[in-house]
Amino acid sequence: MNEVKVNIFSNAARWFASLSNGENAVEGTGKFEEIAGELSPWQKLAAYIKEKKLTITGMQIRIDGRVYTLPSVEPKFGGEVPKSYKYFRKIAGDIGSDNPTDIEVAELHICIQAVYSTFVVSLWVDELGHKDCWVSVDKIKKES
Amino acid sequence: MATFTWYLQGDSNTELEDADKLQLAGAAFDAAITVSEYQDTTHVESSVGADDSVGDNPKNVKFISAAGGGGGDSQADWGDGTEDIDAITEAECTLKINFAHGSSVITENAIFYAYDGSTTTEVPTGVTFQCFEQGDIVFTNAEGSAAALSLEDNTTDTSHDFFIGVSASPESVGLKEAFKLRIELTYS
Repeated sequence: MNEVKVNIFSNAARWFASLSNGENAVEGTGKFEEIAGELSPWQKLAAYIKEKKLTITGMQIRIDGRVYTLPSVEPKFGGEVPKSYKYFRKIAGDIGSDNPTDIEVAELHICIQAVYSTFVVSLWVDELGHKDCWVSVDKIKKES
Repeated sequence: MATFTWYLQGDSNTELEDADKLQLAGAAFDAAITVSEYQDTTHVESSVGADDSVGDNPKNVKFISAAGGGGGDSQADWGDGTEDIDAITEAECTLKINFAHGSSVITENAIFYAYDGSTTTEVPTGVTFQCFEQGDIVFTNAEGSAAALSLEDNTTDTSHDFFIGVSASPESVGLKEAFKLRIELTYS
């Protein structure tokens, strides 16, 4: 397994994924480095998992020395086992007529999700403000 | 690095920079709109009140009806008289919003709406706001995040463009400044 040679507790938020073959995938490092014009680290991970027939067994967000962990497939404190995991960032931009703010980015949150049979647990971290964390639970909408 | 860049489209596109405002006006820059009517011109107003889009012949999309067109389509006037909005091209839309990212990402769950400038769930004060994405057949009365216009998902790329028509009508006399536009999306 490749050694991770970057400081995974650097200021930038990163997703961290444990894989079923024992590897750890870290956003922006090794196979999942962010390179301009190439697939994003998450898209690289998706392609790698498909090619190697792997699954994600746990996910974390790491930022500023803090670690936020979703339940893994072997939950540390018991409970239900997720079926899969997802990641995305949510971004917002404003333009207006009053108190204009930075129109490039008004909001940026990193989110990782543990997907269960009927619901999704989402773990959110604010990347622009105080690095605060939130957890939300949403029912999975049935497709008609 | 992820960025949004907003343009008011025209013969040349005018970029909306920090502290710029999108001005929806009457017959000309700074001209008032009659209460309950929709704007006749659209401009980029600089932080010092100048018309930044004056030489660019900016696009204007004026709301005409919610369901008066063929098959119940919404209607607008974007310079050629009243037409169903599904006839508008990307270049004729008011806004082009570009989302750029250094590496190639997919975008999902994109929404666009107006709010009061403070709380995203609150409607803009004293303004009726209508918008659509190019290709839509009806306007969306997108006031507050719960009533947002849904935008199409984009496949993997480093650059994603959204083309949107916007129109607004004052509900009372006076400048309406508790009125901000927002785009939100997720990417991975």
